[in-house]
Amino acid sequence: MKWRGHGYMRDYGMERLMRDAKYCQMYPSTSQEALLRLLDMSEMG
Amino acid sequence: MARLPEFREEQEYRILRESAASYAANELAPQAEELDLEPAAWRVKKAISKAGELGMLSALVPEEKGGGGLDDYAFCVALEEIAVEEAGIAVALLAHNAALLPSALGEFEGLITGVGAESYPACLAFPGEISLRDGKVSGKVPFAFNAVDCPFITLIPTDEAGTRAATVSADATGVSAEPEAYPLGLRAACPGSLRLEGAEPSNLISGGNMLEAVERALYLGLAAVSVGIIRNSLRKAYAYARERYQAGKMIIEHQQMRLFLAEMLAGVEEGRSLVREASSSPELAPSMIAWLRNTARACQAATDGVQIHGGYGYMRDYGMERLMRDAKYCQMYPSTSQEALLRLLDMSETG
Repeated sequence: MKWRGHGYMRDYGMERLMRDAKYCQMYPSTSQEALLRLLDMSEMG
Repeated sequence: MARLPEFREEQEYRILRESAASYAANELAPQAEELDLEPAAWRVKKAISKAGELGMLSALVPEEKGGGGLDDYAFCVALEEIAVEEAGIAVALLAHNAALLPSALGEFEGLITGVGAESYPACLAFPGEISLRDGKVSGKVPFAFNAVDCPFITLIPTDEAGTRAATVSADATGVSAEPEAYPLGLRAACPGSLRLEGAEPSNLISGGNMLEAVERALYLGLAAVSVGIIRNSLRKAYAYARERYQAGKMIIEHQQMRLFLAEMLAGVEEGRSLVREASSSPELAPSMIAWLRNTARACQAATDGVQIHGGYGYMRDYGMERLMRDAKYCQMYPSTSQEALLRLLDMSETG
């Protein structure tokens, strides 16, 4: 929000952090897969 | 199949956890609804009297000063277990112990007020605008737990930079308390407003940063209470999801329901870890962070629990709506989460 349009521009480096961070949420599994696996691992699975 | 590893705790904490869970299941669970709907002072007092056997009525007061002498994490373990059945009682105990904390930390003449029998639950008049002039306290506290029928009140004068505290007898001249007519949640903690006009303290306590010590205890304690609320949400939602059928199958078989439950499960594990970590630090910031994360998790878990219950989530019989009300209160005391976030930023070097 603070960065507004500048956040979309390569010059400020913010868009790179967003791209990098998003990948972390999908590897080695998606967060949804990990959550479902956690439930399966628990005694509630 | 791999199983989740058990949350690792030393034996002393495991024993305390079992004792607190047993107290909560036997003393609080059978009357949880009454404590929410009709939290009369006598009922609350009766409910928490047995918590004294767990050392919960003077938990943070050192043994050499006549207290229970629990460490911060042990106190949190007990609060979490109690909050699984009745978060209001857990908060009443937290406020009581926070009210005793200045006496436990500071230097003063005389006995610690409130450690003895029948001296509970004490009221912590915080936060508020309190002044100490000519040995008398005046001011207003818009919101305080245990404000109704308490034996004494602990105050931290605003103009003393948190280095002094005072205890005032609840029936002293110039002290008046007004119960909240319809508190949203945590009703067993009997919230109300206080007014003091030239009231004479029974004790004046000085030494150390009492304000920060009390704040840390409140943030940390409510972070633990929030884990209890998440556990109760998970327990209720899980049980309901296994008994409710829709379109020919149990709703727990629907992937979205499983995601809701898994988020709650992750919240319990993360919440306990944060409390454990923050307990070992004397700094305020880790407790604030644990509180921020756990109260947000508790609000989400209770809301998702209501969602899983569908229309029944709105009904008193299933107990989910109470958790939603209780959880929301935790996010607003002793500060709003937004205030805490801004303060954290100020505390950091980037602030």
